[in-house]
Amino acid sequence: MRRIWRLTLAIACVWLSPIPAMAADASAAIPVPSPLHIGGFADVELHTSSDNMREGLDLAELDVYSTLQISGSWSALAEALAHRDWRREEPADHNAAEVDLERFYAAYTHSDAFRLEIGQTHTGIIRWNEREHRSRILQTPIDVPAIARRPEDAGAWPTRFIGMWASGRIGGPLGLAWEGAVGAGPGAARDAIPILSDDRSPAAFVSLSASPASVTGLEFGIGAYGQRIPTRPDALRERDATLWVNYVRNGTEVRAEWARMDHTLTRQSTTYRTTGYYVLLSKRLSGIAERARPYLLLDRLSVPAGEAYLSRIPDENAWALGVRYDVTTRFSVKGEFRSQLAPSGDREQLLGLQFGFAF
Amino acid sequence: MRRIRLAALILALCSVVSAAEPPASRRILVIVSASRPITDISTVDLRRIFLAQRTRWPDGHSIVPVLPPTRSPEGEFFLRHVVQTDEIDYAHTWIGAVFRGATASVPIVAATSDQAKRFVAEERDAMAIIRDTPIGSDAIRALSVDGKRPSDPKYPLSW
Repeated sequence: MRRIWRLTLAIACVWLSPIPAMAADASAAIPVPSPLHIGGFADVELHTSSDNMREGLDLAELDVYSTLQISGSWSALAEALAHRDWRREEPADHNAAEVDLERFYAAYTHSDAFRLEIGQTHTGIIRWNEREHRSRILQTPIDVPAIARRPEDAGAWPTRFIGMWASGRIGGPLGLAWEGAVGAGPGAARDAIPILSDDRSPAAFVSLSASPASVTGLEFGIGAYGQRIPTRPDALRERDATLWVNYVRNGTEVRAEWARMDHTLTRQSTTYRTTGYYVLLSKRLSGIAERARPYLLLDRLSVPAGEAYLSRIPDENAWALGVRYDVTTRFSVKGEFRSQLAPSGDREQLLGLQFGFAF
Repeated sequence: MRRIRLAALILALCSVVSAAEPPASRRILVIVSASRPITDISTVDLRRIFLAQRTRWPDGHSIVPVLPPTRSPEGEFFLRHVVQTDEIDYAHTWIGAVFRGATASVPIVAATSDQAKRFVAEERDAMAIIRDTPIGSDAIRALSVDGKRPSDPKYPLSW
């Protein structure tokens, strides 16, 4: 525990030192950006719950990534995540941490209208993940909504994918953008993506979105994802659909997303429907309080009884009220009160404090 | 003698006026390399470029955005009224864009307009936002915005 405190203190000292954001030296020549970029995110959480067994201090996530611009058109990205999620861990998993390869791909960009990524990417079916990936400092609340959780953290939707993922922006007055992918999704084990064995799960994804020029800051879109999961004795056919809308302008942030997942047992034609949604409202204050951003998050997830593939996924019915304070552009502090369903199914109240860093 | 004193006074006044700082600029310019076949840009496209939503020139080259310091009057005006965001959210947008792999690096910050102009003159893929100062080079070009030249009273990047 002392080590974590020391680490927190050391990182905080570095980030609290006065770093002028977006400043520059007038006398120096402007340096050309390096083709290699290494960055990362870390967050530390302090929490207490109405359930006495669930409190303490955690180094929740350390996310390190690197991008390499190989040429004008080719680039590569790798991201690894060391992670522990105290909210959803079982007592037997206490103090267990894991390291996962989140993304690893090569990308070819022809123009704004066409970009192709080949390798392990995020599926894109949940917009929150496509926008935020895993960095807590970039998202407003402490926790991700239930529909955006990773499979390792009791998330229901497939977040990772191996294959070809294409995207592009058509632009114009509607600001149209498209995404499409084919490859392999999670197999019978939800946290693994087999690609060489018979357990592989062929998957495809497509989405369309718009950001009309007439309403600055508005974006909305739809997405669809399908895969065949070789569960035994009966294979599953998965069909997912999402709708999302964001409005981000001059400090106002409204994000909402609804998602549905149908799992159909192919022989019995029995379908299990899982649904979820979130709504996030936040507003950056002005004047001397401009570094503060109060927020409200509503978070719902409903998993049908008898859905064997998602048997370890609990329902969620939560709301959170909090304030995010940006000490610098690379160091934020969030305080939050959250009311949610505990793993036992009872309702619990949480007080959380999160320190988020970007480096 | 009186005429001489009057002339001296007028000369002195003129010298004081000419030595004073010119009035603060209330316009910003969008400059690109003169070798780029572009003369006009919309405020919508400017916002998209400086939010990493549009990252390429029509020939496929990466756009290299150059900004004044975000706490300068020009930087503040550009963020508040064109990009319609604040300094912190703007920084997070670009950290996220690099993290997503959408762009190779965050925008370059030029401390002075002259520094930005020198950079754009040498870097064909750059697009810079600068204070309204004489261009002074054939290698760079100031764009009209939404069809309005900087000299137009309805030029949108003025305040």
